[in-house]
Amino acid sequence: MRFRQIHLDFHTSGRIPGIGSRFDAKAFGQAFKAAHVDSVTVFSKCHHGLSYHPTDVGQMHPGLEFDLLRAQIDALHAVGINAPVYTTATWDELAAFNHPEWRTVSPEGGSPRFLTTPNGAGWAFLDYSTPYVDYLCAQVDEIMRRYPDGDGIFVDICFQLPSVSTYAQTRMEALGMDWTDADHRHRFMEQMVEEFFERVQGAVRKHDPKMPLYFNSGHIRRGTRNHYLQHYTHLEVESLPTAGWGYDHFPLSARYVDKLPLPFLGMTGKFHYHWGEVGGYKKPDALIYECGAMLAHGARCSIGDHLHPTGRIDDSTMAVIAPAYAWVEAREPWAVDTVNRADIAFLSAEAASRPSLVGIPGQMDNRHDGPDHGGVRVLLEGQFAFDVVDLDSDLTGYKLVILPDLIAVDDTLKARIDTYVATGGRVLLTGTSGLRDGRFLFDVGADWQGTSAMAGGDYLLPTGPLRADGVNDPLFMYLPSEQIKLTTGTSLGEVFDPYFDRTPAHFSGHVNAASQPAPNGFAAGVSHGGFTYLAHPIFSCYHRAGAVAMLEIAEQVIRLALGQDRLITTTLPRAGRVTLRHQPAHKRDIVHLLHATPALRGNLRGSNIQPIQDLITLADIGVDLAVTGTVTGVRMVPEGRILPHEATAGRVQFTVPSVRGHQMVEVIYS
Amino acid sequence: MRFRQIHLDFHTSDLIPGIGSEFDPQAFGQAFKDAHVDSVTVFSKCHHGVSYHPTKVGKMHPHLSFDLLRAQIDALHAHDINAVIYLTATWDELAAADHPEWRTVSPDLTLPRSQHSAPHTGWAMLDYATPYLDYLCAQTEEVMQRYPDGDGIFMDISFQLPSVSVPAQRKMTALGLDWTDPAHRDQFTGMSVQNYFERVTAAVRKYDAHMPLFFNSGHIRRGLRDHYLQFYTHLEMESLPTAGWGYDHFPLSARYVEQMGLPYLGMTGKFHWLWGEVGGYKKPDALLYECGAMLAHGARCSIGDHLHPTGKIDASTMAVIAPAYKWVQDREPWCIDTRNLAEIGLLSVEAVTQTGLAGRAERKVIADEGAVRVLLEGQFTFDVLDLQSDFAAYRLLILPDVITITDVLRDRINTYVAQGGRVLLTGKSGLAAQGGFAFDIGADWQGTSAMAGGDYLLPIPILRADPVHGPLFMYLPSEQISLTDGISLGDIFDPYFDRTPAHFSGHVNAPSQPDPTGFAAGVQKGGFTYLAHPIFSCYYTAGAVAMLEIAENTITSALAQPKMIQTTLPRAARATLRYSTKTGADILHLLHATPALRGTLGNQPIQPIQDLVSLRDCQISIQARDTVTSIHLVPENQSLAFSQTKGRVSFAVPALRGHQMVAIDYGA
Repeated sequence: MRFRQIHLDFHTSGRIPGIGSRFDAKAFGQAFKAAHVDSVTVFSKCHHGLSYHPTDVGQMHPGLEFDLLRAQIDALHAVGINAPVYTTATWDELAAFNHPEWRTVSPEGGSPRFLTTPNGAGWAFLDYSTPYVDYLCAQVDEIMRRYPDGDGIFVDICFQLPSVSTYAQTRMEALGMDWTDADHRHRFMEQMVEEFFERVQGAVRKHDPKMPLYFNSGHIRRGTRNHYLQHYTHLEVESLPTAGWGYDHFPLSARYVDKLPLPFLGMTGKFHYHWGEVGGYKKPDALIYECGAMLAHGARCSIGDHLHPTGRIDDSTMAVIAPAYAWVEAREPWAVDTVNRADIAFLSAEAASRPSLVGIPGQMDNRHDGPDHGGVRVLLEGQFAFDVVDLDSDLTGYKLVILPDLIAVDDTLKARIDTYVATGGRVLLTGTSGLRDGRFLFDVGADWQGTSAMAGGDYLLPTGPLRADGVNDPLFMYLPSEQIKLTTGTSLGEVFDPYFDRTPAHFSGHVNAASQPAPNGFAAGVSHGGFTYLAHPIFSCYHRAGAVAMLEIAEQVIRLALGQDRLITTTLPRAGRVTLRHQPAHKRDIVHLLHATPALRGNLRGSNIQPIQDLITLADIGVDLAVTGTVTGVRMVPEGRILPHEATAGRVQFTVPSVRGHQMVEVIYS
Repeated sequence: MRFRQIHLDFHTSDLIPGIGSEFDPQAFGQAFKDAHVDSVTVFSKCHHGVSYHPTKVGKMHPHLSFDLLRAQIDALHAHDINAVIYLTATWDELAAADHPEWRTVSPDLTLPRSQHSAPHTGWAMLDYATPYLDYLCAQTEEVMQRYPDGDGIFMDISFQLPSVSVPAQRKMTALGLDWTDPAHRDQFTGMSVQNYFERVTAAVRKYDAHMPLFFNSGHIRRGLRDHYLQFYTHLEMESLPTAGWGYDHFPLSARYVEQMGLPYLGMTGKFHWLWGEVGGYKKPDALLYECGAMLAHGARCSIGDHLHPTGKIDASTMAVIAPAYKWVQDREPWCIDTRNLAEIGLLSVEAVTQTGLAGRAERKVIADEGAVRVLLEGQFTFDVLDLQSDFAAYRLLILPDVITITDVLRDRINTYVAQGGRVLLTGKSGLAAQGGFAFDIGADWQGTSAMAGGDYLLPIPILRADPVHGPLFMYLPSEQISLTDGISLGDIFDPYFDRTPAHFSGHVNAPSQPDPTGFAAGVQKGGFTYLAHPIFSCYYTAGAVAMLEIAENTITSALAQPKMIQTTLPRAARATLRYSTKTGADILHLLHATPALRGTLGNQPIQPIQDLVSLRDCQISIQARDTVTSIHLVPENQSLAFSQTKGRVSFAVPALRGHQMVAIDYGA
C-alpha cells in the first residue's frame, strides 16, 4: 500500500464549461512527483453523476471533450505514481435527476438530500433496492474493462438511509415484510446494503481478483470487523479534523483499525475547512501535525485535495502538501511494519452495540459519542498507551480493560471478562457498564440501588488520591450517577445531591442548584479485586462539559484501576500526545511525541472550525517508558541525534531537547 | 478602586433551606484575606428577588434568619476588605411572581424569560415602565439607609427589552406614541431606560454623593460614552471567556474603555463554564492568564464566584483564586498609573452604529470582533475608538467592513489624513450613504459582487498568505471597484456561479473561474488603503489562517512602518505596551495561552485553558521612545541584555509562561 496518497476530489457541476481545458499531462504528473506523492485517486464519476471519460453506461461531463481519466492514469503512471479510480454510490445527481424513481424515499415520504432541504443545494440519496445498483455495477464493470491498469477502486458513499421507494415496497412485500414497520424496514435495508457490497465487489472481482477495493462511508464502524474483512482490501480512515471529525476521531478510529489485519491509512485534507472548499488552504505546519498523528498510529497517509475544473494543478496546494510529504517520506523507515504497544484496552461503546450497516455511520446514534469520544479524549490527554477493542478482540496482554459508561455486557462478554480477571487482568467500569437487570454482573464489592433522580447531574467528591488538583469539594458532573451501596469493596468517594434537580418548578441560580451540605450516602465508586467501578459516566461527563477537573479525576481513576506504572509517561503539556510502537525487524521501539493547539476560529454551517495556526517548540520533554529488553541507544529520528538515557528496573528515561509538532525517538534494543 | 475583587454571586432559590446556616464571619473574612482579595461584592437581593437582610420593601429569603448582608459587610471590613452591595434590576423572580403586571410583555404578547440550560428555567424580565421601578428604588434607598458603610452599589441586569405591558401602553399613549409601532416602542424603551438610570442614581445619591455606583448589563456598549460618564463612577467589564464572551471580548472592550477616563476592571469567573455553576472550577493557571490579560490592558481584576447557600466558604474555590491574586498583587506596582501605547485606532462598528439603550446589548459585532482578533493575533498595538475619539493620536485608523461615511466623518478623516494620518478601509467602509467612495482612494465603486456566498481574492504578492499564490475563497462577497489613479492591491476571481439549489458544484463552493473579474481587490493611494473584501468579517466567519495573514499584511502595508512590537511569539500570543505616567518607563506585557475546545454546554462550545506551557527564548523588538538605559523582567527583577538601533530596542525574554512583564527604562 502506498504511503503518501492524494485523494483528488473532482465533484464538478455539469454547468461548468472547459473541463480539463488546462490539463497538462506532464505538469500533472510532475507536480505530484515533486510533492513526494506516490498515489493519486482520480475520478471516473463524481457526485454530480458525471463521468470523466467516454461511457456507454452513464454520461460524460458535457464540458469534457476527451478521456480525462485515461490521461490522468497515464500521466501518473509515467512518473511511477499509482492511480486508484474513484466512483460514487449513494450520491449521484445525474441518476437522481434522470431516474427520480431510484431515489431514497424516507418513511415520512420525503426525498432526502444531504444536509439540506429536498430542493436545496446538496446531494440526493439513491436507493440500493432500485435498479440504480444495476446502473452502478455496469459503471464499475466499465471501469474495470476500460482501466484495468488502475491501481484500485474507491467506491464512495456506501451508506443507505431507510427507504420506502416503490421498489423497496415491492421487494419487501415479496419477502413477506411490512414496509410500514420500522423494524422490517431496518432488516430489509441491511439486506440491501449487504447485497450492494456483494454486487459491487462481484463487478470488480469478475475482472481482477486482486484489485485493491475500498468502500468509503466517512467512518469505520467499530464492531463490524467481519464486514471489513469480507469486502475491503484495505481501510482509509476519512477524518478531516477541521471538517466536523475533530482531532480525536482519527486516533479513536486508528487505535481500533490498527488491530485489524488490513493495511490502513488516515485521510485528512488540505482544505481550511472541508472537502469541496476549492481555494481553501491550511498551513503546511497543520498538515505536518496531522500526518505526524497518522505515523504515530501506524497509518499511511492520504491528503484530500480538489482538482480545478480546468484540470490545472493548483500550485498553492502543492506548496502545502509538498513539505508535509517530504517530511513523511523521511520518517517512513521508522513507520512501516510497527505494532502499537498498549497496556489499556478500551472497549468501544459503538463496537459493543454491534452496529448495523443501515444509516450514515457515526451519525445515526450519538449515544456512543460520550463514552467513545470522551473516553479516548481522556486517554489521549492523559497520555495513556491504549488500543480500542471490540467484542471479538483478544484481551490477552492488556493490563486494564475499560468498559465506558454504558456497556451492556452479555453472557459471552461476561465469561470473557471473568476469565481475563481470573488470569490477572484488571477492569474499569463506569456508569451503567457492567449492570444488567438491576445488579452488577461482576463482583465489584457493591450493590446497585438505582440511578440518581437528579437528571441534570449531581456532585462527585472522590477520595483524596482521585481528586482533581485543588478541588477538594463536590464537583458538579452534569450527568447523574448510579447509586451503589458498598458490600466488600473499598469506597472511591462520596456523591452529593443538588438541593433539587433543575426544572421549571425548582431552579436556583443560572446553571445548577448548589450541592447539599451532606453527602447522599451512596459511594462514588468502589474498588474490589481486579475491578474498579465509578458511579458517574465520567467519560460522557467530560465529553459534554469538558471540565479539566473531570479529566483529572478520570485520569486518576484509570491510574488506580491500572494498578501499576504506566507503559510510558512524559512531561508533555495537555495538548501533547504520545504513542509507543515496536518495530520488530529493527528491534526498536519508536516513541511518537505529538503537540499542537488547534484554535477555535470561525464557524461554518454551524460547525466550529479549529485550525492549527502554527506549531510551537516545546523544550526539554522528559520521557520514561517500560522497555522489553536491554537498551543500547536512544536517538531522535530521523535526525539521528543521540540522546543520553538512564535505565532502571525495566524502564528507560531520557529528555527530548525539543518537540515541534511531532518528534520520533527510537529506543534501540540489543 | 480596589485591585483584587470578588463578585460573590448568591442567586439562591427560596426553596433552599438553611441559608447562612454555616456562615462564620471570622472564617469568611479570613478566607478572602488569605486569598489576597481586597473587595467582595455581597448581596442585598438576588435574581430570585429575595433579600439577604430584613426588609420593609421586599422579602427576606424565607430560610434566612439573620442579617447576612450586615454580617458579611462587618466580617469583610474587619479585615479591611471592601464590601460592595449587589442588587438586581430587570431580573427579580419574586416581583415577577407577586406582580405579573410588572413583567415585560413582548410585542408578540409573550412573557419573555432569559434562556439558560433548560426551557422555562430562566429569569423573567421586568418592565421599568411599571411600578416595579418604584419598588426597586425603595429597595435601593433601604440599602442606602441600612448599609451606609457599604463600599458601592452594583446594580445588575440594567437593560430593558421593548415591552407592551399595560403600564407601558398607557404611558406611550399619554406621550402620543403608538405602542403598535416598533419605532415608537424603541423610542419609548430608550426613554424608560433613561428614566431608570436617573431614578436609581437619585436613590443612591440622595444618601451619598460619593458612593461608587455601577450598572451592569454584561457588555459596555461602545458609542455611549456620555451615558457611562453620566451615571457610572467606574466600569466593570463582565467577560467570562468560557461562558460565551470568548477570549477576545475583554481586550476589545478594554481597548475601548480605557480612553473614557473612568477606573475600570475586568471580570472573569472561577467557574469552568458560567455564573451559577456551583461546584465548577477552572485551573488556577487559567485564572492567572485571564488576570494577566487584565493587567496587560490596564484593568483591575474581579473574579466571579458563587457562595454556597449555607454561607460556608468553598476552600477549593479559594485554592483557585489565591494563587492568581497573590500573583496579581506582586505585579500591581507596574500596572497602576499606566497608559496604553497604540499605533492603530480601530473605529468600532458598534460605536458608529450605536442606537442607544433600548434592548439587550449585542455582545458580538462581527466586524469589530474579527478586526480585534486580527489585531491581537497580529500583535499590533491598538485602541478601539468611537466618533468622539481623537484620531490624531494614531498612525493608522482602521474602518472595518461596514462603516458608512457621513459628511462629518468624511471631513474629520480628510483632516486627519491631511495631517499625515493613514487610513485602512475594508468592504463597505468608505462608501457614502448614497453610494460611491467618500474619499479620494484612487478607484470608483461599481457595486457589490452578486456572488452572495463569496468570491475569491488573490492579492498582490506582498499581501499574500504563505504559501497561497492562487485565489483564496473568502465566504463573503467583495465590493467591485475600478481603478482610477490608485495602485491595485490584487485581483478578484468569481466562482463559476454562486451556490444555489439550481446552481451548485461540489460540497462547499464552486471553483474560481480561470480568469479574474477585472475588478481590483483593493487600492492604495496616498494615505488611504482600501480592501474590497470585508476581510475582518470573512476571518471571523471562516477563521482561515490565510485570511488572517492577508489582513495582517494589509494592515502592515497601510501602516507603512515597522510594527511597534515585533516578536517571534506564536499565534496564540498577544502583546501590549504601556507606559508609566509616574516613572516614564514602558511596560511590555507578553501573553500566551491556548484555549482548547472541550465540551458543549447550553449549545455553546466551551474553551478552557487546560494548562500553560513555557515558551523559551522569545525575541522582541520594540519602538523605543527614547534612549533605553535598562531592561528587566518584572517583578522578577532579572536584567536583560539589549541592543538599540534606529529608534528600536531588541532583547530576548528567556521564558514566557502565560504572562510576562518587561520594564523598559529610559534615560532621564
